[in-house]
Amino acid sequence: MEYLIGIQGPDFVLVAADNVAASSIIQMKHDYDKMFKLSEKILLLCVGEAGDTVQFAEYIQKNVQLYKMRNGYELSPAAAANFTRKNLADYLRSRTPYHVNLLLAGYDETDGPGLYYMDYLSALAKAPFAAHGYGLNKRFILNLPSFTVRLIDKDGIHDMEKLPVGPK
Amino acid sequence: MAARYDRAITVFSPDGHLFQVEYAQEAVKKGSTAVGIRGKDIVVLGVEKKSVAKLQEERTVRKICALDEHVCMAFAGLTADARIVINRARVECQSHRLTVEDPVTVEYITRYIFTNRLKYTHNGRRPFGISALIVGFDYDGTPRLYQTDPSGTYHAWKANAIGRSAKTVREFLEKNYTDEAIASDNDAIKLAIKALLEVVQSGGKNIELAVIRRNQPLKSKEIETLVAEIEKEKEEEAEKKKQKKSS
Repeated sequence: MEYLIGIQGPDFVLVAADNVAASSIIQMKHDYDKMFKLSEKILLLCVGEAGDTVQFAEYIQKNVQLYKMRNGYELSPAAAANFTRKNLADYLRSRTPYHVNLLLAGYDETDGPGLYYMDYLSALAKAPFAAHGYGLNKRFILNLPSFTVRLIDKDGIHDMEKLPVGPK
Repeated sequence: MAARYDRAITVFSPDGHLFQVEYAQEAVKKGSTAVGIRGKDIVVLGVEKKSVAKLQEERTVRKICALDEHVCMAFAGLTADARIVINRARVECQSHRLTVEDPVTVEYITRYIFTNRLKYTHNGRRPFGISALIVGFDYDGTPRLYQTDPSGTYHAWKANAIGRSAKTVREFLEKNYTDEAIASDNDAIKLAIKALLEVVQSGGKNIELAVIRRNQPLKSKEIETLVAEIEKEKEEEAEKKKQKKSS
């Protein structure tokens, strides 16, 4: 029951992810960070099959860094999103598909803030707001105890206060 | 005699030379000079910029390349060969981060480049015609400078030069590299510029400099002000000598 949410503002993108790493009914970690920093102004939020998430996200992360080393400038969020989509799509029709749901959030110098929704079938959509999972807290049988929140704007990625959402 | 033993890398000459490797080292000697200096908290790379044709875009000629955020290299010799080495090294830097979650040490990436090159000298393909100066900081904060050459060996240095007139520059460094000379970051940079000015004809305009400071990425250095300072210091020293002579 993992949860990701992203909201695009006029000059920023706000994203949050829950902090639980679970193995069936046991909470293994309550402070797990599901966001991967692809570059100074791009975050990849990744949930799904255990192992696939980190494997895929780190692969994308290192390839984005390699682009920066080779070319001297960073990939734009749109380019990074499409690169991620292409990789996910290629693996989909192989014997080893990745089962991951992603949100990619970034700030581009020319295009401004951008939020991209991608699911495990490699469907990519740019949207002003997007989410994966159930975020409900009052009417859901499970309560996610805390969320990491981050903001991306022209100055980069900023950590916001962790949200302990719970029944008051 | 050389003619019969220099066609292939796979042939030794009777007096124990691998001529192809030596010819590759000749190719390096024709390249423009590069100097590397290891300071206390800074590593400096300086290269002689070849004069650019009038219509050519100057900024597309880059001889100092970042391999990762904390490692960079300068080369002397065949630019095309260098591109291949640099590309492989960049991929390996990221691959290392992916598998072990740590940035490469300077020694590791130098060793990787050297092993790559060795495969060429051993498999009957021509050696790479470049020498490289690889500088950077390990993640424990130690500054490092390594030099590789076409034969595939590598060594660590405190300061070194490669390319045309490397010998002159190295001799200058041997005389002038002291702990005082590299006491501060600026001193280390000035030493690199002074070393290059020994062999570069037209002064500051033809020098490209890059520095890495601990925990900071590669930066290109503005050298005009520093060159002006060095020129002033030289004049002051010459003045002092004149005064000594006259008194």
